[in-house]
Amino acid sequence: MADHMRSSGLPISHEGFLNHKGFRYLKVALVVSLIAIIGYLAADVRLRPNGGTWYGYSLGAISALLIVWLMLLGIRKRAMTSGHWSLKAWTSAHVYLGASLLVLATLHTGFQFGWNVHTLAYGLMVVVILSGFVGIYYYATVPRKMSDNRAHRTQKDMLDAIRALNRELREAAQPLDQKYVEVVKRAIRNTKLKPGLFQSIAGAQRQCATTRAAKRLRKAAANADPEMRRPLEAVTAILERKSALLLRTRRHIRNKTLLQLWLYIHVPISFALLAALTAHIISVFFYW
Amino acid sequence: MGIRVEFIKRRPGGRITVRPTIYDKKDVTLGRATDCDVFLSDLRVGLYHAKLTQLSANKARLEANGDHRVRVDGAQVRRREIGLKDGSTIRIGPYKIALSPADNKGDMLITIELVEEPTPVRDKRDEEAVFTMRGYAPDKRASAWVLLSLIAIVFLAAPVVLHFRAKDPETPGLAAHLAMTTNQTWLAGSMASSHANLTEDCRSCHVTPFERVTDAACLSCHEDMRDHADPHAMLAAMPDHKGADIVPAALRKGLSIPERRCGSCHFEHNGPTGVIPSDAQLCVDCHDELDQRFTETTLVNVSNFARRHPEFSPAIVLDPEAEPPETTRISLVKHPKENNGLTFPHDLHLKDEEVIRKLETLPANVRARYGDELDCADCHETDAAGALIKPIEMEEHCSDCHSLAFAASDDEVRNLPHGEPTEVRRVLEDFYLAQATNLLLGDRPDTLLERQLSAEARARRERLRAQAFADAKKNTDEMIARIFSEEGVCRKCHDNVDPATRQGLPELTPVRLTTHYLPMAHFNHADHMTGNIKCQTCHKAETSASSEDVLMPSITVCRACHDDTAGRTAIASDCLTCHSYHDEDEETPLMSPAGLRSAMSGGRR
Repeated sequence: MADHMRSSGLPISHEGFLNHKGFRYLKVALVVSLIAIIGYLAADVRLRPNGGTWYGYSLGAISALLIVWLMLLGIRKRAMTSGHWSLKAWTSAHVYLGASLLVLATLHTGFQFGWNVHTLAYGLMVVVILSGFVGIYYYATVPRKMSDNRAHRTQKDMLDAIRALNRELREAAQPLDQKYVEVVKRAIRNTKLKPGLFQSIAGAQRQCATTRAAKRLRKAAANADPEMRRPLEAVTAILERKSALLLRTRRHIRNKTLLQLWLYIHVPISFALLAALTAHIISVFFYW
Repeated sequence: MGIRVEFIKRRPGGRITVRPTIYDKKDVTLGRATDCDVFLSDLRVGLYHAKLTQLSANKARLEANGDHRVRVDGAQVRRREIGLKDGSTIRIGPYKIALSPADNKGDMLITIELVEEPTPVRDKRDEEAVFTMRGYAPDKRASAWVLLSLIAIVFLAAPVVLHFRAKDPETPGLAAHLAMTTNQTWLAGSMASSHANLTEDCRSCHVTPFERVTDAACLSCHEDMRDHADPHAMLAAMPDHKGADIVPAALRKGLSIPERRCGSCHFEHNGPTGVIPSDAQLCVDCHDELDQRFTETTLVNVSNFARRHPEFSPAIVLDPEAEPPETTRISLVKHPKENNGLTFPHDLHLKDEEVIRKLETLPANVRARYGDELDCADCHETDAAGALIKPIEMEEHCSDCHSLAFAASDDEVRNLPHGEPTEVRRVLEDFYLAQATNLLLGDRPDTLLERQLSAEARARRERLRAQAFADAKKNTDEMIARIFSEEGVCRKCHDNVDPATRQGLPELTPVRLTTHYLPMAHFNHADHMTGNIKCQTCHKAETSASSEDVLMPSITVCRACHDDTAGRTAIASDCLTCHSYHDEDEETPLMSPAGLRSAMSGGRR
């Protein structure tokens, strides 16, 4: 069972928002999309498929209402209830009906695009939906990696451990020569838990001050007098422990970033979409 | 002299603990190294950072070691002499150090207090800052509002405000320009090329906000556009909504998409290819099963060119003498024969030996126009648009061979006028009278006066004169009889309706040649002359021995190419390929969709 879960990456042992009620809303979304496609092919629209035909208006109205409903998740999720319209059911419907919007709204356009507010609204909608897909992907894959990486540590544990190592470093560095003290001080001072956004997502910390300091002191210890070797090795060992802890912490930050970043596109762009959608609807009837 | 060092530690509740050490010497070393007199445990403190030497009861010297520095009253110094009563503050790393005279006279008191955390902890930011998106992206809520406002202002508020602002002629310039620019973001698609000049002027069609483009707006330019037919006839022809059409019809009604507007058929903002719909269904709605709804119609039901379109019914001349000229539409199914008053065998002209021999007798410059034998284009030319064939003119197309010359001398050929029998008589009379006059003048010397002639000579002269004029009349009559006789030059092509003469002239049948056999359709000959297609591909002239033959091709000839039923080559075969919707007949009323709509609302639905 555990192997199965691991390989699929999906938490199938319990019912999540994706497989809620045996993929009920996936089925609903597929049926809705299929009906819309068949209607598009069969509808007698004069003179070409277009947002302004009776079928175009119908698809547009349904899509606009759907967008408003999808955005209500932001309000709905702040109020916990259970049962038929549990948050899980709501989220499941949000995901699948939101994806079906890609079909409905595309058919609404009649495949007519241009550099105008109408296509702007469509483009923003596509961005919102695609960012949602990204979010679903990370929701399905990241949490497992994240708990593996955390190894039962809380975030506070990680920070406390780093602080403790810093204290140890300061004490252990007391007997060292000033130039090595500077190395240790720099390593402590320049510890950046949180690299830049892109570096964080890429998962590489090329310039970790702690790792660099550990390398330097290990080399120094190899060449030092027997008398100075012990304190240097002691400091090096602490630096290496800290380096490993930093790696784990940064991985944790990366995981948390992946889980949140898409929302920083999904939410603001959906508000931009709301404005563009309003402008789209008003403009087409203003110049009817 | 001695030195007393006191480490001060402040406890919660204001308690202070002091840990004193007394040195019986004049100087103490300060540093991180354990063998320093004053041990300062912090990495910012050097191993052997500084030395304090008491110089007198009231003075001490502070010396930093090597590259180290000490901060005295805020200034970084290497070496400084300090008065013990000055109250100066010395800082080394996180430690605050003060000097003063000790209670024990002559001694120096050094008080040391740790005033900062041993080392600033750079990573002691709060957990939230580290493990959230802070610093990576602006706040979701803030950016949502910024984007929402930005789009609402640029794409909604600005166009609306500027729509009304720019309307005011008092504020041209910037407002109007901005209105144009922002309005363009509302443009749903590029305009038809015929309306391209209106792209920047939305209000020329969209007169009132939130009101559909009115027919009046269209008709303000297209003022002499004619309707398709009589509104009541069209009303009768329109089908009731039924079956699968009920839902769309109800929706159109619910969404107030009125039918029978200009905009019901002419969709703008769908690209440059035009607002003229080519959807055959628009026509078929009424013309399929037309006779069942509109029983008075003379039109045949049509639903598809390839499968359900009647055989062509060309406009046939049955009586060339009818005045005004009239034609009758007769289906090619009935193999109509035409009586256009002209005798013309196409087969003869296209391949007969006699025609070839005749061509050989023509002067070289004339012959160059025809070549060795005649073909269609020698007589039939298309008009400037390449659409229809120009009418045949006798003088231009026939007279090179069918000459109307009646007399020729070395330097002159006399031709009869074509088409004017009375003129023919006058020309001949003039010609023969001139001949007689010349004869008489040649007989009389100019110098001789009439009265000088003898009576006999005068009598002879009178006889001669009478004879000459009688001959002239006789020649004229003979010539006319010959020209108009059964074998005469006219009768080669024309019928003689009435052999009884009027002023000695026969009545010839008028010739009524048709230039537009299918007047309700438009056809372009030039467009069709491609590939292997020649005139005779469609018009079977080579085998036509009589001008009674109607050489219009059957619809099956068109369908060889124009057949867009499934699987066939899709050459345009919709209604508008050949027909127009807006009638050009001046008897059809002017376009007035509103009139029909009001008829509809009071009519049968």
